[in-house]
Amino acid sequence: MSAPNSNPASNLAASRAHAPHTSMFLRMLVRAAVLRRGRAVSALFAMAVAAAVSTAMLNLYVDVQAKLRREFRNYGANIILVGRDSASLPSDSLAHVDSVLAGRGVAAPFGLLVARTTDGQPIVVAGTDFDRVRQLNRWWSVSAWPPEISASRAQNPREMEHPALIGVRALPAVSRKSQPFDLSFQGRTLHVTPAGTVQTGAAEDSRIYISLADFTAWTGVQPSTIEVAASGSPEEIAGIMNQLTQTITAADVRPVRQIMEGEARVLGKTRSTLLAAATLIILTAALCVLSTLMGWVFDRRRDFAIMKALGASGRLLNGFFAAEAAVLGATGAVIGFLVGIGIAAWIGRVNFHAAVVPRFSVLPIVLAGSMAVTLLSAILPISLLRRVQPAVILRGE
Amino acid sequence: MIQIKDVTKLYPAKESGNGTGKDASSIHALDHISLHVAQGEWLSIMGPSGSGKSTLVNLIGCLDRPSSGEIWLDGQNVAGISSADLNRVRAEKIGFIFQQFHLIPFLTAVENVMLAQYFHSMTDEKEAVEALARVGLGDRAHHLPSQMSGGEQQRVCIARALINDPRIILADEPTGNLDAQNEEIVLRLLREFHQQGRTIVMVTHDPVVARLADRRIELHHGKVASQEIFSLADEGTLGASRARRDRGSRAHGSARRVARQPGD
Amino acid sequence: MFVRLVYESFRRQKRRKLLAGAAITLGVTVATAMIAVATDIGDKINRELRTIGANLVVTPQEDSLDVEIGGVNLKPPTDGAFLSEADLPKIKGIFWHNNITGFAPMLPVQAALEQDGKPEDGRPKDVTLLGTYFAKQVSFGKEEFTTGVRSTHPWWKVSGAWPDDSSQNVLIGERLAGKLGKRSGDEIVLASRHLHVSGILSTGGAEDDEIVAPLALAQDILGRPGAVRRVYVSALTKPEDAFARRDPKSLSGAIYDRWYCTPYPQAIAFQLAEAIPHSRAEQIRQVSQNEGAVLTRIEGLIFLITLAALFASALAVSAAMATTIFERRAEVGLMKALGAGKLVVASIFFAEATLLALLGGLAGFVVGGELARQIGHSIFNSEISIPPVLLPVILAIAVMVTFAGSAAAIRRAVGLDPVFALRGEL
Repeated sequence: MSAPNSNPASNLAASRAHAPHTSMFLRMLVRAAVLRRGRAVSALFAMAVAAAVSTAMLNLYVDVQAKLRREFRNYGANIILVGRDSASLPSDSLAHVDSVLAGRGVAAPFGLLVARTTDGQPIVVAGTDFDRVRQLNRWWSVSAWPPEISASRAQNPREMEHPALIGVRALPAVSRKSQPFDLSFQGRTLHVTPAGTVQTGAAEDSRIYISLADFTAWTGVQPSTIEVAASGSPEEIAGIMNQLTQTITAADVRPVRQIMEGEARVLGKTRSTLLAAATLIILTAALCVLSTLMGWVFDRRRDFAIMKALGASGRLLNGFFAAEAAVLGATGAVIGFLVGIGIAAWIGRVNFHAAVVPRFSVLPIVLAGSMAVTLLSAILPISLLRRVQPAVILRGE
Repeated sequence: MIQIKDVTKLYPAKESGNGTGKDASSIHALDHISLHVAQGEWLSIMGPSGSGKSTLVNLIGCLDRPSSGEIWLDGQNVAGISSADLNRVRAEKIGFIFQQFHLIPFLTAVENVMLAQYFHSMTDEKEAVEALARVGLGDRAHHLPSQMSGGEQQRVCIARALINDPRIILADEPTGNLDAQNEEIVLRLLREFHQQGRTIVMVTHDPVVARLADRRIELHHGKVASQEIFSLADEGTLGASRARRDRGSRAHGSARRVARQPGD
Repeated sequence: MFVRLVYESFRRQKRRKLLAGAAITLGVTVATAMIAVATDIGDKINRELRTIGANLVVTPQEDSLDVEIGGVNLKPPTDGAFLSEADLPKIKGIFWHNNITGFAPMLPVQAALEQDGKPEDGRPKDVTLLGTYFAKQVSFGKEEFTTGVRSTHPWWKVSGAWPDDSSQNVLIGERLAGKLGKRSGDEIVLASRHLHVSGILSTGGAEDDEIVAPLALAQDILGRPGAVRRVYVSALTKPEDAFARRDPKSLSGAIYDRWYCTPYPQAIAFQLAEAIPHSRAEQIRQVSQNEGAVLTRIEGLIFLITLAALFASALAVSAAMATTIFERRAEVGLMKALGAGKLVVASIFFAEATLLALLGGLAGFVVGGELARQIGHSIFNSEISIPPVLLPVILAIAVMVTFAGSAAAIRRAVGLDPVFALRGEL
């Protein structure tokens, strides 16, 4: 070390210029992280938990609508197509409906007419597609669905002849002990085998359901109604209705307001509740981060004072602490994001029995939010520290 | 080198203040004090607790600002400059030696030294290791403060204080936390710096340590109560010392130190 | 001395205590609000689900088979059995009467509508007239209540005015009105009665092709006073489970009581059939089955979220407590240097933590209650109240969480070597 000279700064800088350079800044960051593991880990933990909870909440908030809509589709049709003036629908209507839906829902055709039992009592007979009804009206309590109408009927002579679902209230009127019975319509008779009963608590209970093929072959009547359960947002459903109106001109397309409105209300309220809960939880998580980081920065006020005494500029110190906080925030956010996605997926599995799709669109929000909270939490105590003279801290007060 | 003109430092009264508070509103830590330290001079400051010793050192070290008065360091009045400029002054002109060492706990010895380089201009690890070697810690450069004894930590602190070749060394009870052996090492280092012509201001409680300096002042209630200039034989009359007080030439200092060397 | 130590610590270190106290208050606020919302959400969503319509229907026991297509009953209107209107208020007398949010009797009648000003078809046209309650005042014992389609069928929309239940005014379904060219305020001649059309009804269902009238008018046209074909009942129910599906006749004693006293749709239907003579009551599976599923999902969701909220607030409290205690490790070192045992130091901190938790918990309970009320008001337009019983529970949770949050920090502080603590090194 040489004697003091008139311009130490420039001489020293010049002499150090050829020394190999390592970034002191990075070195400090790494050292601080590695050696203050306990504090860093607890701060990171708080960050990660906060980010995880926020991610999970945002994910759920975004996803819950879709999940609940699916539950509401179990209510059955939200759109009904009826032939104008009770006329039958064109035979290609169902195919059109299917092409409009393109997998976004289920549709089932219904043909209805009044037939007579053997003792002359009028009874409503409906022709439908059992497979579709089964998907559409999940609430039907059916003792046994009619076997599938296979193309191999010829090979299997023991297969039921014209299997039917009998409404629980209609059953006593038509058949004892599930014996096959006859129905007549305009002089033509159909020999029907009861396959099972259906109970819904509504009009279905007084009806007899047979397959559409049997229905049209017997009566020559085409289905007059198609019930559609379309999935999607209200706008998407309106779009589907619009398309249906344009494609099938012979039909009246009506929304089932009862279902649609109830769905909208419940979804709206649930979302609002979720939003309120999410806000509260995210706020709490942010507070948790704030108090941890406050403690963390205050804990380092001696380092702050020493560096200040060694001549570090305010900007450098702020940069250093902010960089530490930012690294912490970003790491915590990424860990938290992954954990949060996990939580959301778990909730989806447990509660909705369906996977919650990870919303990576949430990541930037969580990341930005975490950084903002972290920096804010760090800046607050730093600005407090700046006002304190380092001398006071170094004296140990 | 250091010129203090009519400096007063007030602290707002605190419940648990350990100062000599008499005012209801504020405590006079320093009360209209004036002092001159010549280049190359070694000044020791003594006084009871709360007499303002540390405050004075902190003011000289630009860690604190005076409530009134002027502090000239190397021809620059630091009482009125911006805090950014104060940072530069600290980094370039002042080396601190603390009683509690104040090393950054998560940095190794050499990194603690490099930190001072970093704040000054840029880092040079080789230079930092050499500086540690000069204080006898060449083999401990990559240890953490928690792995070192108090004496070793103090020597790291000294290496750090010296790394930027400061013109002024401020030592606040440099031996206060050390055993006799380490105290010996630290004082020898200080004497070396003095021989190199650096200005040293040292706070101490120990009269024996204080006598190593060229001059000793005593503070009481924020005022200079007495001062004593040590002669070649350590027993010069006060009057003779006073006559030399303001000269403080380097030639004089060197001569005296050479004379004292064998006696230590 | 102990008390004084704790007291002085509160008096002198207001800022730190305030910070920890604020964290506890906020944590407890969130916890209280979420618990209140979670316990009430089932009821609230249940009420919202009632917008989908009645979930129970009561019909005469000896009814003949309905011959109904598209809402039009082809069975002769005088055929079959009827319920008695006089029995209806008994619905409010069943065990779960508080869960009955409303009921609406229905009496469909075929009537001839005179078609004035229609030259191409001058003959009277047969239309369905549906008699019902709109918002009728009914009393059972001393209890007075209002019920009718306006509460059980909230998706029914009327442009014009709802008719009064005692008037001769009717609503015309919008499709029928379009065919007839009638507007609200017009007159129609139905079954040789001049009736005033007070509004046009839009339901999206079969009623759009019908005329809806006060029940008394329909009974008058049919000529059977007091007759009701069926009654729709809206009830708040518990999602059914395996137990709900058991046949009450096969249950014995205590198990039967448990079944009877649970608001399953089946149990309420059973009680309705008991209350109204010669009736059978059934759940409308489309409504009751699905609402069970929706309700379970939403309740489950909110329950899980409440867990998350409790976890987050526990964490926030722990973090704040850990920070405050960490800041005071020098104090701990000093106390230990003066000869205080670990137990004494720890109990001082725990006493402070308890005091903080109680104060913060109380404040949080009050604020959280208010928050829950606000949520209830703004989202559900109804009260979410917190049973005061919850207070000790919340306080206990607050103390426990604060303890748990402080424990690690206190243990670390107490375990510290006093020398290190005093030197401020770690």
